[in-house]
Amino acid sequence: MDGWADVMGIRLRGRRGALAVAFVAVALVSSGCSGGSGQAGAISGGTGSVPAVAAGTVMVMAPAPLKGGLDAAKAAFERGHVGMKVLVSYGHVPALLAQISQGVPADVLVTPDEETMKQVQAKGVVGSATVAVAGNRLVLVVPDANPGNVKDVTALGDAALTVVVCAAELPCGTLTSQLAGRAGVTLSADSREPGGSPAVVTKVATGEADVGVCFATDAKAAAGKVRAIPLSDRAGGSATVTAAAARAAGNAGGAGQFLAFLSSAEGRAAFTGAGFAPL
Amino acid sequence: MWLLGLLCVAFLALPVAGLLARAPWSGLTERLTRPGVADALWLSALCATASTLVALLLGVPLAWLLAHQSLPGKSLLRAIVLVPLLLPPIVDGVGLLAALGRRGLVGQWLYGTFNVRLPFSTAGVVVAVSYVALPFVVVTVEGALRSVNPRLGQVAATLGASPMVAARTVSLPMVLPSLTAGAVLAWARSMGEFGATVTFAGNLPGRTQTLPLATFLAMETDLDQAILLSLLLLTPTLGILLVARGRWPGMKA
Repeated sequence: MDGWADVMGIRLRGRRGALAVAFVAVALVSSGCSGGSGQAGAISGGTGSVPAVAAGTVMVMAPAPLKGGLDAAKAAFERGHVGMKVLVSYGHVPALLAQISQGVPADVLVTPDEETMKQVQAKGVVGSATVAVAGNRLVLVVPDANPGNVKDVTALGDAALTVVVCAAELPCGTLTSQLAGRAGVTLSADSREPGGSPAVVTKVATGEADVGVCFATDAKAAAGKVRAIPLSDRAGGSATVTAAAARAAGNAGGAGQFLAFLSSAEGRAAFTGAGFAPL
Repeated sequence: MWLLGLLCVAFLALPVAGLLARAPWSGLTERLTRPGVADALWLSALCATASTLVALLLGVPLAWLLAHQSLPGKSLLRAIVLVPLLLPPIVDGVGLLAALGRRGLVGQWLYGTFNVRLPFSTAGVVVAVSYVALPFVVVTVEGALRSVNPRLGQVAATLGASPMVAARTVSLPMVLPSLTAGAVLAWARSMGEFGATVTFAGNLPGRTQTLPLATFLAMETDLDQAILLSLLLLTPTLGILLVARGRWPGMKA
């Protein structure tokens, strides 16, 4: 057992040592197995899951796929509003809502599509005023060499191909189902990724999947490893990134200023610069 | 000492108490009979059991080698055994993809030669959970094997016992509690595995959607359902831990 203690940098002897090492091992595992919820609490530029809110700080919550656009918007906003700071917490929308309901401070919530924002409004978490920020759309995504020879949306129904889509519970999963329905394709999915659009891209980029459906922005972020095959406008699958102020905003003034910026030409440019579609 | 001990128990038990307090008890039957719940529970139990067997089959021989043989680079070997615990489980999954995926180091050979493909299959789930469960068996069993005094075996030999008889009547009874503890920990860890499974095996109800994956997805739409599923996950695991009580190394019931 001493060998194990050496590895872990501790020295313990006998049976008590064995027990202690076993417990350390259990502790290590429990700390590492939080999976997705660990990401949900990550705060960009913050010092912890609930950082101290300084005067002029706007707390923003958003799903991870919006990171590129929102980080750019945050930087531009802080340049133009000296003394104000934007802290963005990225995570899955339900986890973010659970955090808000448990008292984690939030001033602005951003969702990847309008439908999700409507559901959030129905729960009374945000007010009725919403701001359209940028456009996004679903694309087919294939490994760069396209080994499955995917040409169009019918590939999603091909049982011979490995097809990966977003879980039906996620905004991109709902949009994918609509897309398939409109194209008359029965999805032959080998995996419905709980990690959403970025997880679909990972499965395709590693060559594990022949074709997937993801947001155009996530495919762009992995350019070189994956290739995006655009879908026709008629196919559907377009989404509007939407923002709103939280009802319980601690900094309602700051929330208003950040929302006004997001809907300004400069705010929208930050998103299009990160690969989102102009509105 | 008492105060800190109680504080520790409270710290560990409070989240479960929170789940119990928030659980939607009124709709219990309806919620537990929803489509997919039984499938996910069955798949989790199946894969955890398979992974425990894999962990015992592969882990015990390595534990024996580490305990009794003079191997070169033993501390490096022990560090390798701990890798699954040290990495975030999602990264474990990425590593498994890079090794055993269709384009992986070994996986491309498996796929090309035998047409075997682990990702997106139930076998892939077993591989992922075995990977994270193995260290528990190796660490626990090696500790027990080392604490067996080698003289006991020599004494048995002088009394006329063959090596096999000595192992069966002297060594095995002494390490059995640790073997059980390692197996139970491996099973419990496998039941709760999320990150490596979702990354390596994906998520498809009935094939790769284990109970932790179903719980995570329930969070997207229905937090109450997620809480209930996590309690459903906790019940058999806590049950087995309680049944195995008193079989921990160095402990009496």
